[in-house]
Amino acid sequence: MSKNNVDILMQDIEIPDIVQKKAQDAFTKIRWEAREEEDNMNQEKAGKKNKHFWQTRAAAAALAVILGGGSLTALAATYIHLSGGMQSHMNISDEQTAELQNTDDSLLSFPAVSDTQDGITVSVAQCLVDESNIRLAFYVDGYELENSVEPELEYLNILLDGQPANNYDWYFYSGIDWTDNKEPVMADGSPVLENAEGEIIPNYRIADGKMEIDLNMSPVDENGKSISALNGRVITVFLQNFGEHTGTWTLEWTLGGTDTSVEAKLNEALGNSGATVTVVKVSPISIDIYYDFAKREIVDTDVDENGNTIEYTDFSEPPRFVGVKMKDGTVYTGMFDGGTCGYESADTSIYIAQINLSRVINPENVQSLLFLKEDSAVTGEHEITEKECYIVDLY
Amino acid sequence: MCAQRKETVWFEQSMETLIERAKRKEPNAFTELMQSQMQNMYRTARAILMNDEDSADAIQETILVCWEKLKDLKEDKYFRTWMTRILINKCYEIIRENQKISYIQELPEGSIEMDNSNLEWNEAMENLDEKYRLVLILYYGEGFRTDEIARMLKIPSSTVRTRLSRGRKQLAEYYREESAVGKERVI
Repeated sequence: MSKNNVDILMQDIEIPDIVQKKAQDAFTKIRWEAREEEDNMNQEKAGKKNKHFWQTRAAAAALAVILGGGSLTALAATYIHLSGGMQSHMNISDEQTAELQNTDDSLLSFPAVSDTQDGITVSVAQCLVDESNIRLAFYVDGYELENSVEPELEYLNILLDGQPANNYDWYFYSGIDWTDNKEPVMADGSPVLENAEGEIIPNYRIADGKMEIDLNMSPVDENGKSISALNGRVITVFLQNFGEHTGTWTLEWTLGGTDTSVEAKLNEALGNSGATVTVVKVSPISIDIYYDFAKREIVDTDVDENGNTIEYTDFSEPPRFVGVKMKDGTVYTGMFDGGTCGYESADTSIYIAQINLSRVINPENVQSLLFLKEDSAVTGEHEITEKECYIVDLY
Repeated sequence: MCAQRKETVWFEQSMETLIERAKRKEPNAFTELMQSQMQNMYRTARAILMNDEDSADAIQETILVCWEKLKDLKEDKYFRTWMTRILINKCYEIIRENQKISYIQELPEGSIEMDNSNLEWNEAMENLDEKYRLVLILYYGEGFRTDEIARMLKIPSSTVRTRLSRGRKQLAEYYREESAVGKERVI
């Protein structure tokens, strides 16, 4: 047999992307398993038991989402848990895990990225990324403080594809969660305690002794223009100076993210408000709403630092988004969790509201959006019902 | 010569070290170890399953099983044989799940996705009977001995040698025909 014939069988061949991706998914799962095992071992040594409220179907669903919902029996008994702050903030309940499982498999990712300086390790806990919104959670390990003392982080800066990106909010997770009845509970199951001023005493150290930073971002560039199509962009996060620990912790990775969204072109007038909803784009953790709403100047009053009443000119706003109605009839309100809004440009009547959601939804299950009527007398989000709203059907 | 031998020794030690660390559940060592085997796994899976999607699933499942069971591997020098056996079993499971006939002699054929980047290799595979494809890949592609292949596939060594011989002839025949066609075109 000629040498050439056999050589064909021995040559290196290009490994297709699908093979590489599935292999990488397996390695990601393995890293998280190893981390969880290490955390549990450390907890057992410290005599503490983890109370993983989030160790539910949610985690298995998230794992199935990561691995494309494949039929791997090896996954059945293994969980990846979401960070406490992220789960609390995003209201990822058992009910919503079904929605998360049905969303695109790149909405949620767990980049294996960390940086250690001066004995403090910052790592990425997880990312939720859709078309317009990034939710990040970071673990901070080795930053020694009393549990109730608020940690300090002097600066947090972000680049996207090497360019400064703005419009984000971040905080250390305080360990305080809220029930559906708006009652506070401590994430670690300890009793809720108050200080002399009646403020709830936080616990910044989560179950495994780490701290958590949660970040919510609707990225805009230096000119204030929204940055979308986030999947595939390189994000660099700089965290500078944890209290007396000076230094810069740098984390960089390529964002995953889902491109799943439902877009509806409409022409729905919102009562007599003068606003018409023209385009709605629903993603799992954000909604973009385009209104046609002619600019109207209004004169309003405020009080300056000396207590004097002052007048200022502003523009009126269209009826604001307050919730969704799902195809099964479920209504969610109180979903607004930051974003951007304003006119597309100075000489246009196109008003754009880019809204970050405080829960994860399956865009395909959304039936209608709810907009608060301008004459509504409600004083809190929890009071809003369909009666107080304009209802805009997407279909 | 000395430089070449040193390199080989270093590589073997490196693999041994990785296996030891992976057995201790160090994820980075395990990842590096399995990534060093991606070519081997892909060639083998592809030779059986003849499509990338199923091959990706088989490799993914193999990685997870290896992570779980590596601590049970008694002799590190048999790592590749052990891993390949797991992979082959996973491939056959997928075939069964896809409702294809389970016995080795009835591997799928004719379902190759023509990938331009591996054109020659794919053509070689396509022109081999399924009986010979896997043993040729394991022997020439992966460097296993006939007795190792026999254990992996649970067939006699003599059967392995027969299939190698017939597979080689089939491949040689294919290339002879290709060469003849080429000459005709020139004329």
